[in-house]
Amino acid sequence: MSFLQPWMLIALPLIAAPVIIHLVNQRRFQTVPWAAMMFLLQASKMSSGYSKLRQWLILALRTLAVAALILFTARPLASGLLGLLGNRTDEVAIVLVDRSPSMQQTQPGTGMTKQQSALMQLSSTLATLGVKRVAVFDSYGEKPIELETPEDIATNVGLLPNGATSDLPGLMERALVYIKSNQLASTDVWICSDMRESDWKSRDGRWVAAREGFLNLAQDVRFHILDLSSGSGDNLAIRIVNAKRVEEPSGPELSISFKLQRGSNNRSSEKNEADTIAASGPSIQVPVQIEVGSVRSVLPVDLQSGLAEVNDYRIPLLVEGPAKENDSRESQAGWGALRIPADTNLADNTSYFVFEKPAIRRSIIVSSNPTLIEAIELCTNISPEQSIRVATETVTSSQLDSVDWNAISLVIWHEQLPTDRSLELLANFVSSGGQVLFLPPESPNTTQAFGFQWTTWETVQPTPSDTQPQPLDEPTNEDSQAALLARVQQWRNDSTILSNTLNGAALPVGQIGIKRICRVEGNGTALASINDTTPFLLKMDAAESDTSNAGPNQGVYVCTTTPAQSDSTLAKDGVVMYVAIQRVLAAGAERVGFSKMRTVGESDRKQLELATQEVGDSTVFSNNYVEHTGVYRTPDLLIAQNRTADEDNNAFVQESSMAELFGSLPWSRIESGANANSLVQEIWKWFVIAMLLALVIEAALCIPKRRGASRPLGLTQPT
Amino acid sequence: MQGSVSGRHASPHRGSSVEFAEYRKYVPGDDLRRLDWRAFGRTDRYYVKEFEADTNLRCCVVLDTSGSMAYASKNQMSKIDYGRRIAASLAYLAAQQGDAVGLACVANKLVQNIPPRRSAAHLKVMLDTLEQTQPKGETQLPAILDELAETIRQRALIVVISDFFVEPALLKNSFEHLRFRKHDVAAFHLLDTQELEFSFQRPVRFNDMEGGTHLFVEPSEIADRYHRALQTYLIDMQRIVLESSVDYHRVTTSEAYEHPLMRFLVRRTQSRGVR
Repeated sequence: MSFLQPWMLIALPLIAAPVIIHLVNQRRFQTVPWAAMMFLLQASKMSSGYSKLRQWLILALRTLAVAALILFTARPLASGLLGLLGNRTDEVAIVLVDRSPSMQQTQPGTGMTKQQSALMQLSSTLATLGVKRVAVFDSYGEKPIELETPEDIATNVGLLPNGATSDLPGLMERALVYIKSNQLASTDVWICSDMRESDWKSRDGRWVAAREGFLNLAQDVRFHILDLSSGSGDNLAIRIVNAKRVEEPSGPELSISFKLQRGSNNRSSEKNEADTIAASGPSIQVPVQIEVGSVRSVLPVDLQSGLAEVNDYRIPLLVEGPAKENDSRESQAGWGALRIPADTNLADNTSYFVFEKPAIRRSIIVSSNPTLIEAIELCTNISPEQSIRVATETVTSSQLDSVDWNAISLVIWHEQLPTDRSLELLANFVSSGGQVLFLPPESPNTTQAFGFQWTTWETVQPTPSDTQPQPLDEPTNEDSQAALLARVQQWRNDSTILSNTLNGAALPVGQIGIKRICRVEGNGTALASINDTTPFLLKMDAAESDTSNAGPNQGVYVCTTTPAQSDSTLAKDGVVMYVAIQRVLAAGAERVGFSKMRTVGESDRKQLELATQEVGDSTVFSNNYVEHTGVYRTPDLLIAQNRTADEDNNAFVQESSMAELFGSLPWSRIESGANANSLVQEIWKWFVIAMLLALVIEAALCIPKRRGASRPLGLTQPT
Repeated sequence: MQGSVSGRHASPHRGSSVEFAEYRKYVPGDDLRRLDWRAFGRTDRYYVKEFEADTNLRCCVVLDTSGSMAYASKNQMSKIDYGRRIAASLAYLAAQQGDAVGLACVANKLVQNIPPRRSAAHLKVMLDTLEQTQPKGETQLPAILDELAETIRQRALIVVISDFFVEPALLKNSFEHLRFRKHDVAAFHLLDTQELEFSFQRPVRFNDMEGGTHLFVEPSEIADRYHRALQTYLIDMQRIVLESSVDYHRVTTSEAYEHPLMRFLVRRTQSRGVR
C-alpha cells in the first residue's frame, strides 16, 4: 500500500496519543480518604477479565481510529504497485507501449485484448495518480504521442494494434532522449508488454547504452513494467513460409508452404516441459482457408503436438492462356492469404503472400581475367532450382553504362576499385538493393570505394593447426601442397552468405585453402577469417562506408583472395563459392522482383503511403500501412506484409535477463490482472469506514451500564 | 420500659396509674381495693381493674467513633458530627423527662463509657464527651456491642449511631445478643451521599480512613460493581434489622438531623413507648 499524500504520514506518531492521554490521565488521579472501603474492595475483587479486556479494547479502538484518520488523509492506494512509485506522482508520465500482434490476445473473461486491457488500466492508474500529461512511445514515429489527459490513452487512435514487433531497446532510447530534451524532473516510465523476447531483444547492445544513459541522468527515473504475459495458451498461429509461382506443363501453379502452430501465450508454459506438452494440446484438424485473389479454398490440416507444416502445396492458377515471356510482371503476379478460424488472438490468424513468375537472376562479372571469369561463371550460371532462370554477362568497367542495371542482381568486381561514373552507377545499384562482391585485382592501386581500399598482396603462412592429415596411400604432389595451405579458421554461420544449410550442416568453409590474400584497409565485418588479423571475407558496414551508398539493403562483400589456383582453392573446393554466390545472387534478386514478401516495418513508410490496400485491415489509414499486415500495391511493387517470425516464437524475457537489462535502475514488474480496471485504487473510504467503526464500537464500549437496576436503595427506609 | 422509679415510660409491670390497662378475673389474694364494684354490680362477677404502671427510661447511646465516621463529602456534615447531634439531642430529651442516659463511644475498643444517670450534671458530662471525642481507628462495633450487652445489666434502650461498615452477619449476632438481654435496640445508619452515589469521574486513589491501605481505581470502571456491593449490603442490613427487631433508621448526612430524630420519636410514640 502506498499513498498519494505521503507527507501526511508524518502525523502517524499521533496514534500514540490515546495511549499517552490514558497514561497521563492515570497520573492525574486525586487522592480521597474513603470510608466505605469494604465496597471498593469487593468491587475490585469482582473486576473480571472482560473489564480489563474492554479497557484495552477501548484503547486499541481509539488508537485504530486515529491511525485510520491519518491514513485516510494520506489517501492510501491499494495494490503493491504504488510501492514502486515510492509515493511519488509526476505531472508527466512516459508510457512505452508494445503494440505487437502477441499483445492482441484476448484476455479471458474480459473480451479485451491485452493491449486494450493494459491501456485501460494504465489510463485509470495515471488518472488516479494525478498525472497531468502522458507521452506515449510506440515502435513507430520518432516523436511520442503526447496526450493532455491520461484518459486519452485508452481511446487514442494512434495506439490501435499493429502488426509490428516492438523494439523495446529503441523505445528506451527514445524515452531517454525525450526526458533529456524536455528536461523532465523525476519521471516514471511505464512499459506495457507481454514480455516477449522478440519485443524486448534482451541481447541488443542498445540496452547497455540506454541503461547507462538513464543512470547518468540527474533526474530520478523509475520503470514500471506492466507484465501482461499471463493469459490463455489456447491460440493457433499460421505463417506463410514460401509462396511461389511454378510453371508446369499443365499451366502455372501456386506452390505454398506454411506453418501452423499452437502458440503459447502464457508465460507459465516456459517453466517446464510438462507445461510445454500440455500447451501443445490434443491433435486437431484445422481448416485452413487459402485465398488466392478472389478464389477461396479450404485445406484441412492435422495439427499434431502443436505443430503442422505444409510444404509445396500446389494450387493451379487460373490464367488466360499460357504465360509468355513478354507478359508484364504485374499480369504474372498475384496475392493471397491463409486464414484459420478465430481464436484468442486474431492477429496471428492470417498470413499474406504474393507471388509472381520468378525473375531471371542476372549477374555481371567485371573482370578481364578469363580464368577467373570461367570459375565464377560456373557459380552464377548454374541455377539452384529448375524454375529459376539465371544469366551472366561479363563486362569491363568501361562498359558499365550499357548495362541494364534494373535487371541486375549481382555484380562481381575483379578490377581496380570503381571511380567516378563507375562508382556512381555501382553505388546506385547497391542502394537499390543490389549486391556486389569485390575480388582483389592483381595490382591494386590506392583507389578507395565503399569505405575500403586494397593494399598489397601477401602470402599466407599456414599455422600448425592448418596442416591437413596426409592420405594413407601415396600422396600426390598436389595433396602435399594442399596440406601446406592456410585455412579459414573461423567464420560466422549466422551471416546470410555463410550460414548453415537447410539441414543444419555447416558449409565446408574450413576446407578452403588460402595461398595469398590482398590486405584491405577499411571498416567491415569479418564474416570469415584465416586468423585474427587476416580476414578472408568481409561485409562492409553501410554506416562506415560512403554515406552516399548507404541504403536499406546494403550488400557489399569483399573477398580478400580470388578463385585463381594461385591464390586459393575456392574454385577447386567450389561448394562454398557456389553457395555463397547463389545466396548473394538470391538476395540481389529481391530488387528485381515485382512481388515482395516482407515483414511489417521493412518497407519504407513513404513508399507505402502511396500504395493501395489489396487486402488487410480496411480501417487502417494509408500513412500507417507500414505498421500493418496486408497486401499493398504500389506502382512498382506488390507487397505482402506479415508479422515477424519472432512473433510466433514463444520465448519470454527471463527474470535474470530483466535484472540485467535494468541493472541498478529502479524498476519493478506489475502482474496485470485481466479483470482489474486499474492497477491502483484509492481505498480511503475503507479507512473512513474503519475509523467510524472503531469510534462506534469504542462509544458502545464506553457507554456505562444502566445503573437503575444496580443503584443502591439509598434512603428507602426498611419496612 | 422497666425502670426503678416511676416515670413517663410505660412499664411492663401493672401498677397504679391513671392509664387503664385491662380487666382481670379476681383470684384469691388480690387486693380487694382493686376490685371493680361497678363491674360486679353490672355483671355479678368479680373483676380486678388493672392500670399501666409508669416507669423511667434507661437509655444508652452507642456512638461509633471509628475513622470511617470522619468522612464527609463536599459541603456536607461529617458522619461523626451528624452522630454527635443525634446523640446529644437524644441525651437532652432523655434528661429533660428524667430518664437516665449514658454514652458509649466505640471504635476499635470501647473508647468512652458513661453509664446512664439521671442527674442534670450528667448531661453536661455527656455533651462534653461528645464534643471531645474524635473519630479514629478501626471499627470493632460487633464485639463491643456484645460487650455492652453483657455489661448493661438492666433493660435499656440501646441507640446505636454508626455507619455500620462491618460484616452484616457479625452485626446480626450482636443485635440478637442485645435483644436476648431484653434490651430495646434502635439503630441510626449514617451514610454520606457520596458513599451512595459514588460519582467520582477521574481516577482516584482511595485511602482507607480506618487503616493504611489504599486502592487506585478508575471510578467509571468500578462504579457499577461498587453499587452492586453496596446494594447487597443494604439489603442484608434490612433483613438483619427486621429479623432482630431493631428500630432501624437509614440516614444520609445531607438530610437535616431533626428528620430522622423525628421519625424515631414518632415511631416510638406510635408503639406507645413514650408519652
